Amino acid sequence: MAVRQYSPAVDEYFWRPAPRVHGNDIAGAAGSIESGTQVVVAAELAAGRLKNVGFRLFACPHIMACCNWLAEQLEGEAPEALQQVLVQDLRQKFDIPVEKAGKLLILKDALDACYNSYQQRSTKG
Amino acid sequence: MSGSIYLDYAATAPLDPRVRDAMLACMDDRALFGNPSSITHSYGRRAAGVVEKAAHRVAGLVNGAPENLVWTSGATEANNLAIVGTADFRAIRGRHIVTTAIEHKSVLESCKWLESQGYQVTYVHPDRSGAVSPGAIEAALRPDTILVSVMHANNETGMIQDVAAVGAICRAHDVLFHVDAAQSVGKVAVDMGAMQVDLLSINAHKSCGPKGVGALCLDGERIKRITPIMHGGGQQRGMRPGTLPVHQIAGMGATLKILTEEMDTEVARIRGLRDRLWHGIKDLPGVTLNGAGEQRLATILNVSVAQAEGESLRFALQDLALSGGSACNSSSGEPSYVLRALGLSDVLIESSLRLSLGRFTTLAEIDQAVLSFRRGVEYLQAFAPAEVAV
Repeated sequence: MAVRQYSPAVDEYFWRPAPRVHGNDIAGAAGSIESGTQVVVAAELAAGRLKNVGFRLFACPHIMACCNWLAEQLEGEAPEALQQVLVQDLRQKFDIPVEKAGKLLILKDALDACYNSYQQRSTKG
Repeated sequence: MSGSIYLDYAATAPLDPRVRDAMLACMDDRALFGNPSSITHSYGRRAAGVVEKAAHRVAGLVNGAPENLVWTSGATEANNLAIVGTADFRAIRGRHIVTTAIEHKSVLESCKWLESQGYQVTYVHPDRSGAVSPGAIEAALRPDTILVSVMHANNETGMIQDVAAVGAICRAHDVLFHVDAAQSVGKVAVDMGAMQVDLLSINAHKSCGPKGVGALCLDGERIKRITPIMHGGGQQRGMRPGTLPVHQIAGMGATLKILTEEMDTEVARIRGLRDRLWHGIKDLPGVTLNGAGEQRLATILNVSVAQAEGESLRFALQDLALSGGSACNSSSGEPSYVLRALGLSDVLIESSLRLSLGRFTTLAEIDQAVLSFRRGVEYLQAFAPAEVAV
């Protein structure tokens, strides 16, 4: 296999697991195990803010590190923050190689799906 | 990663200090620098003596004849020489070769090159356990078949093929039989006579010997010549030119001497360690063994881990030096064609690991490896996607 070097940020956040939420107010998913990457993101809502943001993942170390970091960053933010995550920012922070752009887009799709879940909930509510 | 537990002996093994000593003694001896082909003077004759001694040791382990041994740079060259050299030399009799879909790349790529030269090759597939049926080999034979090539033990799964049965079939059909024994020599008995093998490829570095040396052993009664694939002087009866690397050959001789003396006890010890490793991880959810059954090398454990992405699995197990599902395809990064032939999906192949043990693997290392393996797999599987109710 090709030798792959990982950034210190990947080393750090790969092993810093986000909470794995079981009961959720909003959730979104993208990708599949069969395709090699699946991201499921879920969160609770407390006073209109994100709480206990968590992920379930079948993904490479870069995406796992991104998700663990995002779980920290999104905690306490407004739900709109889900769709404001920029792929380019993640690429830079974790020094993600260009060939993994597709995997990052799966993560982005999962975040967008989670935000859509929030919007649907708001419409119903 | 430096400091990690080495579990990649099927890729290569550390040099045994006894082998190193034999090589150094050869290099340090001011009377042993001669060209072994220059037997008109004492320097050359002394070097030739070293080569002859090593040839006896190598041939002795595989029940071959030392005078029919061709030194090469390793098993890859030996396989190339066996396949291409035999096909060219015997082309007048036919241009069809039978091999299997799970051979080492050095066999498969040699066969593909021959196809580009107008030869035809039949690739026999194994069953889901990794076993190649001798009957399937026989069914693939044609009147114009000139060579059958089957590896003794698979480099990824350790599965041992019934080469004796294939040898009997080839002999009955008067077809030459080549066996790639790169992984098996020193791990199981290899007997060219009993197995009716006509050409046998072996190396030294997977058995704690030096890299850069190997041999093709011929059954001199069945095949006296093959066409060289390199051109130069007339060394090695014209089949493989080039000045012989005496210190490398001395190292290979020392390697096989050790194997001759210690194989039985060493293999028993390693089998115990491998079984301890397997028993330590087999209860993890989604962990399955590739290459089932007892007919596999004691040194290799190939497992798949469901619900754990392959790259993250290798990342999580960085303290273990092992091979992933792209083993032996390192330059391409393609999923293992061996595991694909066993029916595994590409995703599961990526989540497959080959752990291979050897002479210097210790009990403490295996116990630590079990802990590391469990920690990494359990961590990843805890992340595995599940239905999320909203």
